[in-house]
Amino acid sequence: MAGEQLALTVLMGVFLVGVVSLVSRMENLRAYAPLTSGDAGYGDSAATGHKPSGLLRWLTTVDHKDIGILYGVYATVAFVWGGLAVMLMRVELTTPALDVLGSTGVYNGLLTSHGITMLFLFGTPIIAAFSNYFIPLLIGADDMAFPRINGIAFWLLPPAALLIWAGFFLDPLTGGTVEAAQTSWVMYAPLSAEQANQGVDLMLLGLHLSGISATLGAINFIVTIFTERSPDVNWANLDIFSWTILTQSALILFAFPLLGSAIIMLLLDRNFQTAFFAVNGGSPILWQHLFWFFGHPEVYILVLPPMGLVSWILPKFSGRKLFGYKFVIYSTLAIGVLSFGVWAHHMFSTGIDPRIRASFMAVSLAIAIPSAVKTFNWIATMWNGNIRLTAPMLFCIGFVANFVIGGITGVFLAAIPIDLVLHDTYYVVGHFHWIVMGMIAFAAFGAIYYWFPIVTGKMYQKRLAKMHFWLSEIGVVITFFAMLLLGYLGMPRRYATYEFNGLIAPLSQVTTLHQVATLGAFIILFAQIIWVFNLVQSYLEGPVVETEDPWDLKETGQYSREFEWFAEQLDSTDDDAPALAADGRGEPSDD
Amino acid sequence: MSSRTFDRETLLDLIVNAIPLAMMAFFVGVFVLYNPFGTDIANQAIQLSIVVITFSALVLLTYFSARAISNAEAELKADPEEFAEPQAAAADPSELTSSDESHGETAATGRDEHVDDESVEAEPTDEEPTDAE
Repeated sequence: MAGEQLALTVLMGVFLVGVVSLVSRMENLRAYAPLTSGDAGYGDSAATGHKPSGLLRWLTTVDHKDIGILYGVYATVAFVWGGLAVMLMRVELTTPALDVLGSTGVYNGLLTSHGITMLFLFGTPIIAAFSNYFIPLLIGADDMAFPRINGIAFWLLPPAALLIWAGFFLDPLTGGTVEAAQTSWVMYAPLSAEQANQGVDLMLLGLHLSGISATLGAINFIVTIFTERSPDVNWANLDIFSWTILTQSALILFAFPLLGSAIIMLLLDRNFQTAFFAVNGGSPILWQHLFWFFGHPEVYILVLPPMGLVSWILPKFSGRKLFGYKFVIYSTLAIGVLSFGVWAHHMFSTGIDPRIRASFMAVSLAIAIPSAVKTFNWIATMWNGNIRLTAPMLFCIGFVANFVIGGITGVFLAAIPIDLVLHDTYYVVGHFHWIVMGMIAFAAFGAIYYWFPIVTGKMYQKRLAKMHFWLSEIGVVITFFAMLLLGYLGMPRRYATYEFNGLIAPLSQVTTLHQVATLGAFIILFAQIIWVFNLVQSYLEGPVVETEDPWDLKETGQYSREFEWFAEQLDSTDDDAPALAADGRGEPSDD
Repeated sequence: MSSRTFDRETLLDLIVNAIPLAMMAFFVGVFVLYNPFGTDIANQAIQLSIVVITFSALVLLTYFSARAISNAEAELKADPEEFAEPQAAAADPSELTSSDESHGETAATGRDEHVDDESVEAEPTDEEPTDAE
């Protein structure tokens, strides 16, 4: 008895020592959490001076800029994964038969992985990279409102990616028992509910995790923009990128919890014999309603911030302020609201009531207006402006051009009669790739080049950046025009092979167009290799930027707050250590 | 929504959202007046509610955001030195910012990135690129 009490006492003592140790470590952590230390903001040596070195710094950072860089690196890795997956698919599609991948299951796994990776692991994080790094700078905040939640939101993403991709890793280890999920990114029931493959469960859990991450980030941005703005920033002079991030965050707040709930229901259907999405239960159509109630706002979650980036960057190289600043704000908000009233336009061919279908068509046509308004604003901004064709500007112009095609093909699909003909064909694939690659990725590239001097303190290779743009644009046009034409010819989407009867579609023309699309995809791939090389090479060896205004923005009165911060960094950096605190490669001097 | 809350300029800005609102109002009228699919109270209620709820949500958000921006603009006008520069551009698209002439050349030549050669070091540096400390 006495021995037990002694053991308990010792255990309690060890526990208390552990608590004290943990608390003291927490105090150390507080020292380099800008907001928790009270007065330390970016550019303040107290904030950066306490960062641990090396890997530990990146694992423990709560600095919004560091987290922004982590998001950017993460998104790039995901972009490579998703890109390589689609290259394998495009190679397979050069011939009608199954000649390369060996089985349709591999193709389906790659297709699923490509879609989910590009939307959830590249699209959302690359936007978060810019918003984390630059929103606090643009609104004059010390950091995000909740720096540690910001860190948690990012660190949920690597396990999410591992779970989503787990099937590929586990397939060889389990002898094929666990395979890559083959549900496509929409995970339609009953296929997703009945596919007896634990890779699907892992993928669903990973997706759920990424949704939690996005939701935490959204809450953080909403609170930051509402409460952490500098006193000289109000709703009338808040920058346009922050407006789009605010709207995006609101959409995430309403959309992602629904996806999480639907995923839980699907997991229950798969593992606990519930019948939410069973044919004789809640119905597979219920899944489609729940998924697309999330899924269509997700389109705008992904595209509104890139629109904000272009609205921010394009005027800088047009020599004029954004034309119709408030038009862009109101149209952004309108898109945000209307995006929740259009979800069933993805379901026109499911046999839902024609009256309800007509309503969704009406709202879908209405949402085209605020989208088109933005296009006219960008064009009007450039009109009579002094255009400077820098790499960021080229990507912005490419963005607008691609949006015209991607957007208008979408308006066609909003019309029920056209949708019924083109549904589930490559036309739809072409349409949304004009948006996802032609807009979202292009805006990201433009923003990366635009802010490259701030983040790295170096300048990229201009000629390579222009090559990157032109090859990307040419590749996008070739690949996705071919897909639109394939859709007109009736080529169904999601097929690994297309050895169908010539009565369905003219096989020789379909084959040729697939080969053209693959050629375009290789051009895009080559362009992205140039991009990655340029970034890495310029980061390591590029010329150091010593001017506070690398884009000559002062000349046109558009020198903005993030470059003011950059100038402060340059001023506070020793001559001996010219690297910036922005990316942690150097520390500001103490004086 | 008095005229004092929304001046003429704000009302003009709100046209951007008035157009989709008008489109949705038009479709509500069409759905009420023309129904080729037969009577079905439940489906007709859903049909109208989808458009009406979306319409109402957009009206509310437009009103409150316009009011917030309008009030913020009034603050800007009342105390311009306390605030950062407004983001809104001049309404006249032909109006250019200050140094038009200096930019004329670059517009004509489409000159690349405006990083002066003097402003960057041509040679790669030997510094450690990644080490934090």
